[in-house]
Amino acid sequence: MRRVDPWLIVGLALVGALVAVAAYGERFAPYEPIYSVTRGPDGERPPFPPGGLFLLGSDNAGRDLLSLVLHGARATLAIVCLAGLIRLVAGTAAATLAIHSASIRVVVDASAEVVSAIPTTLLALIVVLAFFGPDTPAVAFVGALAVAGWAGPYRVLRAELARLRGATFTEGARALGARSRDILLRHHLPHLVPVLALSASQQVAWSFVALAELGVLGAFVGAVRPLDGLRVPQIPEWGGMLATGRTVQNLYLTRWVFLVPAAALALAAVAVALAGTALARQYARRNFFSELRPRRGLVGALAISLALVPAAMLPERYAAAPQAAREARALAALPPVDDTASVERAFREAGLHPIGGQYAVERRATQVLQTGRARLTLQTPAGEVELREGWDRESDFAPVLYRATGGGRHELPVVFAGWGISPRDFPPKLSTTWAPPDFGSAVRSWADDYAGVDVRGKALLVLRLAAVKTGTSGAVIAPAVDAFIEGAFRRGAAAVLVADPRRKQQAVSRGGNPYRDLAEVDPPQDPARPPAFVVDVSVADQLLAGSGPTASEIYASFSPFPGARDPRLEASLSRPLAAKIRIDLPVEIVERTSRTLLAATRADLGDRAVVIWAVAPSRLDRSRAAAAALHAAVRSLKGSEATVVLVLFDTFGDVRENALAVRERLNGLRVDLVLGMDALAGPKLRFITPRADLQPVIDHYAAKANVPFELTLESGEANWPTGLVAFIEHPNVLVTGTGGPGDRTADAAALIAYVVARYQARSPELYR
Amino acid sequence: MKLVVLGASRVVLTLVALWALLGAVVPPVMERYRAFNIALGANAGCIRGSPCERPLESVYAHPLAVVVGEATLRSLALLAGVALLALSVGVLLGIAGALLRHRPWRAGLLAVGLALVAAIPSFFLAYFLQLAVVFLGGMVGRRLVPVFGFGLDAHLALPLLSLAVPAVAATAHLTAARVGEVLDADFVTAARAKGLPTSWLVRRHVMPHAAPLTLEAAVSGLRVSVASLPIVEYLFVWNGVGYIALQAIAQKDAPALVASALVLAALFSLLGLAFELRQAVFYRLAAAR
Repeated sequence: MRRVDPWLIVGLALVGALVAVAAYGERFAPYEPIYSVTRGPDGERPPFPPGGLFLLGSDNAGRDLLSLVLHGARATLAIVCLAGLIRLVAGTAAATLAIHSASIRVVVDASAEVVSAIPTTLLALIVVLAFFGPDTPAVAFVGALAVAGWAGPYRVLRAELARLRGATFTEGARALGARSRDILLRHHLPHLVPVLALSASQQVAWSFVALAELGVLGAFVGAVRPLDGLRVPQIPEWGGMLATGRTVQNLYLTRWVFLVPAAALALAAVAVALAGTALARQYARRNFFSELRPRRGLVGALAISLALVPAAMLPERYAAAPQAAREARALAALPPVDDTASVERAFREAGLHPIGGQYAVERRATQVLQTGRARLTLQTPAGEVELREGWDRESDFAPVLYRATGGGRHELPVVFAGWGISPRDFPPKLSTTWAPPDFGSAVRSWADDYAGVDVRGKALLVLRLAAVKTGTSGAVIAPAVDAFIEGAFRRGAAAVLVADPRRKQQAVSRGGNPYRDLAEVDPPQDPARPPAFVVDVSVADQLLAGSGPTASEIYASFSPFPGARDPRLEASLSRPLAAKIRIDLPVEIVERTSRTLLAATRADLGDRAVVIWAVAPSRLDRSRAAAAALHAAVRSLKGSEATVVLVLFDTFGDVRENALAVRERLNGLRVDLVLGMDALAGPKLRFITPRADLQPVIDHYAAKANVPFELTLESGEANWPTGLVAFIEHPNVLVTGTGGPGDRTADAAALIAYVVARYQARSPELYR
Repeated sequence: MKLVVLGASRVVLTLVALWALLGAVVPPVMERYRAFNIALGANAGCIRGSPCERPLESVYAHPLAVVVGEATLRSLALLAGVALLALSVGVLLGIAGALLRHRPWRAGLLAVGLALVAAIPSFFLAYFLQLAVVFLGGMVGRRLVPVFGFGLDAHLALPLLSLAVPAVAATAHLTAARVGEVLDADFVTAARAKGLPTSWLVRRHVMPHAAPLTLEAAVSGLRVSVASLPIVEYLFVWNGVGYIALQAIAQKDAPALVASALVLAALFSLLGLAFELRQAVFYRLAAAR
């Protein structure tokens, strides 16, 4: 038995320990990286010192450093080992090619010279930037580290191969007729083992350093969220942890925040370097390949498998939750059941308990509503055209219903009022030299669009003005659209058509549609008021055709915005038109009872609960997809020990009052999370939460429930009524679709089931 | 002369190739990066269209050539310090190591220490120097040296140490080996037998033999320092050319990034050239002897 270098045993043992941490660390970490504590027992803010809440203390976001290190081991080691390996393989391949061909050598030498001339960190950073985004992939870092570091191993191996090529044993082998490939594999490779081992360990160690340096420069693996002026990467890769831990405060006061990941990085680098050096020493005068007999290889492979296979076999944390998500998704795949009666029946069948004696919370309410499809028919000299209502791509117009507008049937001549601006409506405000100009000052030299046309009893067409250019680079935003609509009504217009080039863009946005926002903030009061519509520019073009420049031409000539001092605006674009329009907008006062359903998994509510809040019908797109998702998820709640409150929220009438009535029924129950669902159309789900600590949680849940979602990188609140306002002081997340084609009902159902299963399993982030 | 011309042409070709490569790659990368409303650490919180996206010319109110030129001078100040420390402290430590070569424990301790220090990346060293200075400052109750900022005074201490320690260790390591070899040579034994003092021997007879290798080691260490310039300057907010390169990235200023990267590459390549010429001259002299 040959003597084995004791340092090799130590090195391999340390590397084995690292691999074990990478394989099992996630499973045995006390917490997941999504768990954070935002306030300590005495109300103090993170970072928390070691030995208190957490063994090794917390980071700036209040996350357990030990858990982060254990969770981050896999990502960190995978990136640096892969990068180190690619550097080595690329360097070896290039050296082998260069040693056999002078022309290749010239090219490779020149490339190596160019690559190594720029500092590694800078080059790696430029490569990472090429793939930079809100969620920079790990592969970008592997690529960056590999590109920036292949020249080192190339130089070392080329020198070594050149030395071996001139050795007498090589000449002998060649004289005996051995082929170059055989000489390389049989004779040179065993000699290269020490250099390869040393080089591999160096490359991995340098990759550790480079990864940390990239982190310090702000390039992190995966999604990064802002938190109190810091940027916190979601993947707890050690380099990123070290980087985010290096604040002035941490340097002076809370040093553990960066000492813990620095220690992990240093230990890992030492382990790898030690193993590589010892391996190089061990095989400096021995043939590695002759010692690598099949039986030994088999035993080694078996040992590695035995050590690593359990990692794949071990059930993941909260394994029941993905299962519940799958079941809910399967149920949601059945034909959708979204009416209130069916959901109530499902509550009963699932054995859910009514709260306050009955499932329903009823409120009598009246609301001015559009009760049917709106119809607009253009009568132009070119013929009669029926327009299509809606917000989708194929649609032409949408009613603008709010306090100042109504509906009815009308047949009206159309008149064009340009931008719909009368400078008298927007008196300039007093401003200082340093304050930006206001809209009134910007348009004060413009012609009055109402001066040359009589709008009384007519349908008025105006072009939506988004902003006015002031100076060389500034712009002043135009007032909201209601100012222009009401200006037209004040002058006696019987209807208003606002042509808006951004209409379709706004159609798919969530919470960014000024026309829908008007209806929600200031709902319609009187069906007899004159109607207003937002129409596509193509509709305005049809009305304006043959009478002068069309809307498209006007927008193109003033792109992107008209200038405050544009001499063309000293004359108005207004003109009477030969077109007429027939309007049919059914708007009525509707009186009915809003019926919100409310059920819980336990008869006695206990002291805390999660609330699942499905909004149906949606005030955003009138859909009942959230009810269908709730219906599908109800069955997965059977046998729940934790209290889960399910709400099918009716938005009819005063949404806020309806929501407060539900909250009253819950009677002071402590709510750990309100998961709202509304308007689930779109290719992905989007999460809106005012709580920064909930962003990684909901993203993690969605990923685990296999739900397509947009990363939640910012805090926010939905600005359309969902009723969640009643729970504003509780942790709440609104789940909504990103808009556009696609139905995410099944995904929402899976997410509900996943959240409930985690809550039942007492996942700590839900019991903060 | 032929070597100098060949070497200089190679440096020029490398820089031209690099210029072409960066000129082609950096602008589209910056444009793509600009599309995301995200900033790197050097400028966290910088939002699209805000002043922090201004070109460096506008930030410093000077032409780019002046900005990069001044930054290069600030970096050269650091590198000159590194060279000075490597050639003074490194050589002295190397001679001490060589003189202690027959005392296994002390020599071993020195060798292991130097090897360990040489292996510490400047980045880690910078981190821990900052930490140590803050910690010690807390203990003695006053600020020892500044941990951030530019200045040709006490501000130099930490960035210089971070950059110089690996170069000093590498120089000392190689000097110790070479001086040890020369001290064991027959002519030195003969000189000792004549009663010449050690200091005289080292100065007049040993160092001329060890000088070429010492110089090579120092130049090699300087190349490592140039490679570490960006991160060390960033950590100490030393607005040298490495810092300017990173600031150019944060400001999404492609021309400034290309210019500063080319300056760094030129420094690196010129040091490489110096290293190779020194080696060639040394081996030619050795062959002549």
